[in-house]
Amino acid sequence: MITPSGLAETLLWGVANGCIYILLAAGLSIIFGVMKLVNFAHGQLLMIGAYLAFTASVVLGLNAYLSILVAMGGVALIGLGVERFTFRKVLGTDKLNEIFVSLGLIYIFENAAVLLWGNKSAQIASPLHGLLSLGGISISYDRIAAMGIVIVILLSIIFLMKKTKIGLAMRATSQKSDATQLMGINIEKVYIFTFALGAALAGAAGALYGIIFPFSPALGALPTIKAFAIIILGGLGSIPGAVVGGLLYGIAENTAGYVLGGIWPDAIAFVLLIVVLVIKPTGIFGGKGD
Amino acid sequence: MLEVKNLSASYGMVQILWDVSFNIKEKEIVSIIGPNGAGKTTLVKTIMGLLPAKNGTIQFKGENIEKLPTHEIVKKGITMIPEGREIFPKMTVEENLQLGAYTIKDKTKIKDTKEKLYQIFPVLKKKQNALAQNLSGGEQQMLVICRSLMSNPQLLILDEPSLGLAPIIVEKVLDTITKINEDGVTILLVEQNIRDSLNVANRGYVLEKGKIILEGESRELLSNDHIKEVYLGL
Repeated sequence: MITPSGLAETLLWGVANGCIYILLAAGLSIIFGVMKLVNFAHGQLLMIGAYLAFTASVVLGLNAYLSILVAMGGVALIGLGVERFTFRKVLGTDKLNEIFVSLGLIYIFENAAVLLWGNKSAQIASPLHGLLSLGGISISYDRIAAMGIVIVILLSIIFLMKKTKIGLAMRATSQKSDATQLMGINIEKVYIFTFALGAALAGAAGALYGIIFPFSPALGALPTIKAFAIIILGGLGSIPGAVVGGLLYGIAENTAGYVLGGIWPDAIAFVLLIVVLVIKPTGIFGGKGD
Repeated sequence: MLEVKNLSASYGMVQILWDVSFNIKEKEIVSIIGPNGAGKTTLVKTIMGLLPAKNGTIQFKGENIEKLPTHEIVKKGITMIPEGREIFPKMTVEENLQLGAYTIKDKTKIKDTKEKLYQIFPVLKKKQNALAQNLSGGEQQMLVICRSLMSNPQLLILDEPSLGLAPIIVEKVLDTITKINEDGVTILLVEQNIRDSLNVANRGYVLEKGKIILEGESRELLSNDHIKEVYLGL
């Protein structure tokens, strides 16, 4: 039965889910925008983030929400290594090389996760319990916390991009990489910082995911597709695009599950992806030229 | 100040520069002229480290720079205004200037340089919060010149600054180049626009098919028969 309050609740939960996807998509979008790199292993960074947070909270006994910081730092470090030792070698050579490297990374990350954490389902135990109910609509405290955390992280990213020297260099690189070097900017440093930052965002998304949902080493694949759907929906390389795309996506996914039921939530990513590619390939915020 | 010796460079599989040698002395304006496709842009990109040198050496103030990455070369005191200006279109005038000063740590120095440039180009001050892409072609040219001066360079390389500009603006750009030179900045001016560039330069080199075929004082070059016939249509 579809009821107005049920629909309202669905929308709200959709926004909460969307927040996690926004983080993942924003990381993917920053990496694509600055480095022109398409990283298909981005969802695996989310998965690793979920496991790092899981280890920090379950094994070391850290508060689940503090373990987000561990996930961000850990995945950022992995990102540093991945950029330095794999992508840097092939960057700018041929798009296919970059794609094959990222496809290879998917299997390396998934197998490493199976080796380290085993091939069973895990979930991070949250200190928050229960639901907040207001006028017939309820939402879990975990999802409210997730929304708040995503807002804080996104505001920090906007501050970084607009107000700091490295943010200025990142934006310059995304527009003109040769001219950026002529400003005396070490573009390799910009790339490595960008990749680590994008990875950290995926790590944070992974920790939040692991607090709300159970996960396994195979977690990464679907979020990658969803993140691509979101940044294509919002416009490649645009952070506002990732935010709007992520919210729309989260709502669409949850509503599809509520209205159509069953298998539809995951299929909606592909439906949206195809519809956007057919109708407006540059996305909502794209197509303003260079 | 800059000494290029036997420089060769390729673009992909194709060799573009063959054994190019030239020099610039401190406080000079030197022009490298030549037709479209002669290798002028390849030459300046190689000097700036954006393309690798295949053979030969590039010395700046006695130090070899041909193996340095671009950002290190900029830190040594060379800046370049690339062909087509290459503003950062989606950034404000102010942000474009900040990028020009990226290598400068001293904030008061950055502010002083900026204020000085704003005084010379009041239109940029008026539009400091406008996106660079919304400036006119002439204003964009002024912006990239200012951007290149933000790092207080010793040598400024300009690749085809007159390209796509109205004659009256070209004149203003050349005037500006002369003034910058009078302030002590050495200039390498790469141009297709031969008459105008030789008028401001002390000396010139003619690059054809990747080789230097002629060199001399600007006056000599302007009265050279080959130049007159091929470039000036006299």
